[in-house]
Amino acid sequence: MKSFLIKLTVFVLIGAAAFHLKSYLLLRNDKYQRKVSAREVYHVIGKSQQKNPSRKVLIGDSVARQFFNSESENDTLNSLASNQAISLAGQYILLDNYLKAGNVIDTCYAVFIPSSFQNNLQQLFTYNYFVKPFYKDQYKPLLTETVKNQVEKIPYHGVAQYFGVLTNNWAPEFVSDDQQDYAFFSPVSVEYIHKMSALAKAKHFKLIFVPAVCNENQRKNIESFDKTELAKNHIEQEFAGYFDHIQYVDSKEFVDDMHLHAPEKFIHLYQNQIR
Amino acid sequence: MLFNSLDFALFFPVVFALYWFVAKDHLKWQNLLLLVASYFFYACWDWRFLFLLMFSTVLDYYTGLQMYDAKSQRMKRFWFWLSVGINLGFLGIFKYYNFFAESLAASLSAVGFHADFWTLQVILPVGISFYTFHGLSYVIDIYKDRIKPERNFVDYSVFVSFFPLLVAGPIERATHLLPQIQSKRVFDRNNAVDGLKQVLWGLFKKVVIADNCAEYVNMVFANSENYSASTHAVAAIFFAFQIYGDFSGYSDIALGTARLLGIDLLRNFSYPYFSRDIAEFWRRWHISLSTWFRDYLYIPLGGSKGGDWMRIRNTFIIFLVSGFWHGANWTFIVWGLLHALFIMPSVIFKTNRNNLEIVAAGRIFPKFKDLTAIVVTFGLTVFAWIFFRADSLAGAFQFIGEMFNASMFSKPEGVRNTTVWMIVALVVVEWLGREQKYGIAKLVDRWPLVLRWLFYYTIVFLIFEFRGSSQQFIYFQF
Repeated sequence: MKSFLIKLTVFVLIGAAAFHLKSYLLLRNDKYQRKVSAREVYHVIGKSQQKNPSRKVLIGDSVARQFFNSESENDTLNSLASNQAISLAGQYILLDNYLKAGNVIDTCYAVFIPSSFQNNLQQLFTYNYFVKPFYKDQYKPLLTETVKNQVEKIPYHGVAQYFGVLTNNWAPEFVSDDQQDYAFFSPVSVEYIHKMSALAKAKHFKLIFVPAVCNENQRKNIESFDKTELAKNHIEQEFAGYFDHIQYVDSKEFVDDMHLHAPEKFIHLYQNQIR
Repeated sequence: MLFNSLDFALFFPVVFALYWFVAKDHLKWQNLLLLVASYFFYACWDWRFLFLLMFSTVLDYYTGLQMYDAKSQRMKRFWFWLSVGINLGFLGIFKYYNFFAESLAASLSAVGFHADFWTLQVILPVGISFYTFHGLSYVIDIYKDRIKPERNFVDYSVFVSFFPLLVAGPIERATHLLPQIQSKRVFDRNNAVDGLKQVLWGLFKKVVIADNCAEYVNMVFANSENYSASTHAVAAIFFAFQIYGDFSGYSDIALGTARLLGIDLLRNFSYPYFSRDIAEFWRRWHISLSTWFRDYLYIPLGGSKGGDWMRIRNTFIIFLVSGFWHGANWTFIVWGLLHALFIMPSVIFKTNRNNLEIVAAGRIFPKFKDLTAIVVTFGLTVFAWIFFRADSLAGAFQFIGEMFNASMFSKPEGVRNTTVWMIVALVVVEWLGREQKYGIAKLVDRWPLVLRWLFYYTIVFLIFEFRGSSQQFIYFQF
């Protein structure tokens, strides 16, 4: 037993040292941010902190990102589209970063498919896409109690910033026991829609919610949406016209339920809404 | 609590330390610790179903004693059928009730009658099929006077709920596991090292192979109409590796974990994809279930003693029941039926015991004939897996329809090179290690220590760097 434990301890210690060395090397110069699965999130966080001459900014989910690539530069429309998994809380932080970086905007397009608003930070992806990049001291003043409560339900949320965890894709097994009593607008989404509206008012820019292209197979579900949910959450104004302008595309054009094989074929669908 | 989770990585060392350092030399304490740890492990899934597990344990323990002490054959039979009835009743309610209700309603509606059956909105208790079969084998063995009942309740409870095998097997036999639980366990360094290596290999199969394949398979099966025929073919092959990596990986972790506690569990896999015919495949795939059905269903039905027709009938029964055991869906029944059809030529021509030895034993390369047989057998199993994976029969037929068209010769979409290379690595390592209990059992034993450790670190590195997004073990749903 003794020799087994000694050998095992040595093996584990060498492995742990190598692991930490690798994590440390990835942490230096933020190399991990280009390596992890949520790399597009880190990319837009970096981009949101830079000055840009564009007076139009776009935030959005991964469907929006297919059309408005945040990797490329555009002087007239700066895309910070990333992923629905960051929730509207993450989207708000991006917008806040962008304004704090000294950028002046006159329009912010928020491009999402309706199901993106269901995110209540209760997803399996929340750990890698929200907790690691956004649940940091510097952003905590921007987080509501609802967000903090949701994050605290996720196991091991407290070690997310530890570099051995931060620099890789590990996430704990997590199945939320949240009761979803809303069709599309989660409590987190509603809070941050209000916060975005307030920010738009304070900084004098227009906030326009634009529907991203949806799969035809979602039509029935979306069209059965009871719009009283908008009134109940006092977001009718922000979403006036959003549900009426949804463009549906045949299911055959999709890789999965949401993402298109060839988004460039459908970019014209946004011409009237995003100029 | 998944074997590949941080929770288990924290849980197991605590159990290991208490087991070998605190409870050592005290068998009763060791067994009590195993029982508490097993119940805790199970309660992490859903504590409410712990009561079902406990009830099933008490039922089989009590009826086992009553059968043994029964004054008459009539009373013995009474206790036997009571136990079997309640065990299968629970399984029927939790796993099959909705299937029967919905199938009956659909059949009645097809002939013009409208019937609305009440369906249950319950979650399937994790591992119910496994621990029910555990209990059944114990009760049947007592009834058939093969074993005496266990009088120590803790020992019996450990037999039923020992955490490495509780949720997905192997399905143990009282004759194999109970004597180990009853006797003093001595720490054996070689056994423990072997166990750790088996856990490592199991993790590689689950986390690297199965989870990576699962991402691709899920993508294609969810939207099969959007993909080319060649993509379908790759997805079907990937599913074959996914389910192998998932289930044999789980079994390796279970066997390795048990070995670290000084307990040997039944082998569940023996390189099934190197089989030369379907009969051999079934001697190598989910061995503990195949042998369970052989001993408790096929042989009581008459086995192969009653002539050709009886053999054919019994083979069909075994495979249909085996399919149904996996899940309450017609897809599993068709999967079982297909295997029954595939195995039929060797049953009829009595060639089903032709390939008892591992292929190309003592050699590196197989004969061309063997290689061809392996490829054909693998192709048949891949085809049958489509039914196993599909959500419905219509979905399976649609998938097969889309798999055979002109785009079969186009480049498959979205295949990641790393996944392909990991599968190649798995096949090569398992081929080289196919005469051992698991792939890496003796593969590098003769290498110098530094190289040996480098090999193990490489596997650890692959597990960390190339793991797929975490997926539930497939067999937990059964």
